[in-house]
Amino acid sequence: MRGISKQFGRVQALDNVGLTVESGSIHGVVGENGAGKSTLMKVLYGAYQADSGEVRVNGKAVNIRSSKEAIALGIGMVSQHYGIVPELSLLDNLILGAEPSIVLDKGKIRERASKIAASIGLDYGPEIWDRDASAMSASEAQRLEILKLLWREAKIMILDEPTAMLSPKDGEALFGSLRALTKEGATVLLVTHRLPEIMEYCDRVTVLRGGKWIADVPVSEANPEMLSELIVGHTLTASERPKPIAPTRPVLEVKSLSVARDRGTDAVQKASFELSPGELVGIAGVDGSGQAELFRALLGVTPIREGEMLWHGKAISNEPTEKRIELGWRILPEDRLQEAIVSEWSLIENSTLGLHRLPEFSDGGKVRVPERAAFAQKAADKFRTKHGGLETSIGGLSGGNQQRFVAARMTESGPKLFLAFQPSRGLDIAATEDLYAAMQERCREGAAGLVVSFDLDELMAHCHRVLVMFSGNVVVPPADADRDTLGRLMVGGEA
Amino acid sequence: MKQVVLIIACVVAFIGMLVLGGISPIEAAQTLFTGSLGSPRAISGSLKETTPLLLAGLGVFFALRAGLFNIGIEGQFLLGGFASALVALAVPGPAGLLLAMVAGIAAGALWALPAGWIRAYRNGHEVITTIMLNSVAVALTDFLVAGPARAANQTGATTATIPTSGRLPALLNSPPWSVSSGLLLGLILCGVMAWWMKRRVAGYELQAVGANPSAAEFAGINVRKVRLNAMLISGAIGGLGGAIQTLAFEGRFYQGFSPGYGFDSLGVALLAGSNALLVVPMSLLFGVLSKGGTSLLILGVPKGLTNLVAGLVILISATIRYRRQAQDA
Repeated sequence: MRGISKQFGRVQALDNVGLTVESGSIHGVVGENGAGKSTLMKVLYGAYQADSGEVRVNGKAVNIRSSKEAIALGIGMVSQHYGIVPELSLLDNLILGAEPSIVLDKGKIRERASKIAASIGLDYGPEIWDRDASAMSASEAQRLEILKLLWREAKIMILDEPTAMLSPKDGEALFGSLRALTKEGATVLLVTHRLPEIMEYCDRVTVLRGGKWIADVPVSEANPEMLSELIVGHTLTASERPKPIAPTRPVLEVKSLSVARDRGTDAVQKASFELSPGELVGIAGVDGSGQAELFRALLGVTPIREGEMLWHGKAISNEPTEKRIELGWRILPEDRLQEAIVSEWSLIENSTLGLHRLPEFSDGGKVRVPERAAFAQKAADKFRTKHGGLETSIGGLSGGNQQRFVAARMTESGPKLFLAFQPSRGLDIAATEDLYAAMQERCREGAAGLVVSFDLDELMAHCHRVLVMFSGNVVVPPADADRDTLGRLMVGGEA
Repeated sequence: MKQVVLIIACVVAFIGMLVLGGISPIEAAQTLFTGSLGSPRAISGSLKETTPLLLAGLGVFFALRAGLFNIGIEGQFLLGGFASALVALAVPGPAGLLLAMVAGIAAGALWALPAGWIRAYRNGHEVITTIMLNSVAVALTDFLVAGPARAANQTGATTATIPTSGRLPALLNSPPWSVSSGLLLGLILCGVMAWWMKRRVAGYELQAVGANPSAAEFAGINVRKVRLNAMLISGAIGGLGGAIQTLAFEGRFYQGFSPGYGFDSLGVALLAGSNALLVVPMSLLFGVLSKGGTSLLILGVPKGLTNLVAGLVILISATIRYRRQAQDA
């Protein structure tokens, strides 16, 4: 790709960007939010048309106008939001949209499918192919997406944050599969925020910043510090990991708390832990280990089946969510669009969602309009939310900017306890650091915080201590647990 | 913007149907205009038609803001009209008038209660339950007014006529002009509702539930209570509309009391979108169409035509709305 430029309205998303990827390599693309990574990838697989510049595949200039044309050229994208139909079998999902013939010869299809699976080191027999896709884990779904591209004979594969939802072990397995593919001549483009992945698995890395090409270096000549500097454009003072706090009288005690799932097993099983004032505690674990249910139960959105919660020694399990918010509990929910904002509302209206009954914003049932507007301004400024006016609807903001805004709503509204689910989702390195700094500051002021993340390194870098959730169980690891131990606990291993 | 498109589509559909019926659209438009806005009498008539549409429209609008589609407004309107007639006949004078209004409000709320409760606590869809309650309301009031509540000296299914002292006074009564104070009540209610939605915490919560119920839950809002209350208030406003219809215009309750004001008001509320104040011009539009539609009878255009247009508007709005919901999901 040479001299690619792309403009959206008044924003120059890509400005004369070049990207050269050698076949048979794993090539990393890194940069902050809005650096242009995603836009560049979308130009490559035909979702966007570049305003200028050219794309050459195997030396031939091509004009890719749709993802269909991209796949015909052997370029495919593994989407972040898996495009999998849960009601269909794995095999049906594999061939969906790329069926070899009108009448399907399942035997033949299965044969080729298994051969493809074997190429990335998976032993998939008929019993696996005929399973319902709904039974798959996140990592299996991810692999199926890759298999789908292979089925379509993709030679160049684009992966956007592929390990965001995976445990370290599944992440390793994924990269193992990708390595196997590149040995057979496939090329992988990896968009990621995680520098360790670049260092460990990539051959070269391209850095973008503010829509411009910054650098292109072989990984063998790079180190994480240098990459971070290239990404943000200035030296980063690495935040020091906070030392564990000596436990004092806990503010929050959770005692053998169980939360029922819709049917069958409990989503949270007899969870017990304590938070001391001033503590920022991480909860590591693979997605779907019960973290979301735990948070919902803590906030009182989902009823608990058994167990109890104490806030400053007083039982709180039967208090409604409204009451907990009044006590200073704040949440940054898992699903931003569904749980944290009203998309069609303005930033001002969204700024007090959940805080609207607090005396700061409600005068005996009357909305305190000026105070609300002032708070919205404060929340938008805190993490530099880019917006087109506080009166405009929040749905028009990018995901990262929405996240900045709702994160500030949590940290800037005087929390006593905050529950942050994947707080760094959609945020770049600088914003992530700012957000953790704000959370740590609230903790220094006496608040306590629980942070769920699927990124163990992120938690280890910022939290006083890290708990692990696996399959509904909360594990309190020994104080001296290292990264490997925590990683093992995340997949159900022993400490 | 969407509103403007819908109104234009509405007028085009109306004319299109006239053409289909073999009537010259120009002649029809002229008749429609003179019949609805061409004289003081016609304007007064249009305003009279506007009043029940405005009130019922506000009722539907209120529930819509909470994410509930109260199709049952027709039933609530009927029950409100009936209950207020009974009370106004039993208690004479201004005190009776006041009590009759309260009775109308209570009857409307009561009629919305089952639908609201089932929606809030059993997750039964309000569209289904309110449609059913509409049928019951029609049958029930038909029965009551034909039997137990029928005036002694009447052959038709109607209550006795409420004496003038028990009726809502006219705001302006100098023929050919006549404007009822019911219209003023509707306008005041509309203003209050618009203010309430913007400035009251409860209005904020109501609209949060309507726009994103799961986010509302995370915000500590009792979604069930809000839904139940929204349905009750919506029904109460519908009942008030029925009471005003009885006390300001009809002076009695009879079989066929509502020519479908409740259903037309669905179109009014959908067209108003998210702004309560827009309920006024929309109900006026439907009121004019309805009054003009009566004049069109002379040309052989059936009265049902305006209903057809209202139906189209509802269909289009609902399609847009639910399509968006499906995309969000």
